[in-house]
Amino acid sequence: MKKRSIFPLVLMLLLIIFSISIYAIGSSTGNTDTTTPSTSSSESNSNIKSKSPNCEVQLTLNARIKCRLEQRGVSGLNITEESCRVLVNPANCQSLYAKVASCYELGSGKQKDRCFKHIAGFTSAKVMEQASANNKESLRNYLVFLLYDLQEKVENAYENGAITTEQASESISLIVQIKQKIFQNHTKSKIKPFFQELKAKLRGLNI
Amino acid sequence: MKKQMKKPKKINWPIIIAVIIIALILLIVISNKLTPSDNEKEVEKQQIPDSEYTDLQTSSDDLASIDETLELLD
Repeated sequence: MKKRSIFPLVLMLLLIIFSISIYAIGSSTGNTDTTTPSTSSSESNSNIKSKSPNCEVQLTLNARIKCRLEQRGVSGLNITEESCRVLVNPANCQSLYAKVASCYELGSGKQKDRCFKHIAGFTSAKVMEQASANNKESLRNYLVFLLYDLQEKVENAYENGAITTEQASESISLIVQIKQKIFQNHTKSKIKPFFQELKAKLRGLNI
Repeated sequence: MKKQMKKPKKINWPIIIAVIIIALILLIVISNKLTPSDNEKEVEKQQIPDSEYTDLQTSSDDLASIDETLELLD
């Protein structure tokens, strides 16, 4: 008699545990955003591991970038770490890079812009509307993504032999400096001179 | 002959409770799948036509967008 009353209870408990586990699995795979950073952060970790001590002893940013370009080419630049190292909490900066990494694989320029704005936290397509909504953090994130896109174009030009190591490292180090200033919440008056210098440099290179 | 008394059917409460709980859990799971998550809502909200976005093809496109966005910072 006792055995008969225990059996349904055990069955009930097993079914509840089983149902809860299915629910937990379902809710964890539903969030697509979490998968992207984890895969990309492993990429950034491998970048950090591949750091060569020879280039790290260089004192200036430009010298470090030039050294890496000469030794390992664009794949060994380790720019994510370089842009984030000036920050108190570099993990947030690195996770932002990891989140946006997939956007750079998109073929169309408009799709890329849509992806950047989505990751940056835009609520509409126009930058002006974000400024009106005082969404400054989104604007800063978007600027960083655009600078990274620009950097990719410089790297491509270098790989295609269109520019020298010197020209590439100077442009990239300027881009990195602007990104660092954006992350450090510098005012536009402090960022602008660097951007003007970068514009002049790129115009001269015809990238 | 003694009329046999009909024994009242014993209600098996643990099984009924188990069925109710499982049904409730299934209901929660199904409703969770049917209602869009926050991410899905965000995607739905962002049904903005492609024409609204900048075509970031060349470095000049990037520079122009950076220029425009930089002006909007403090």
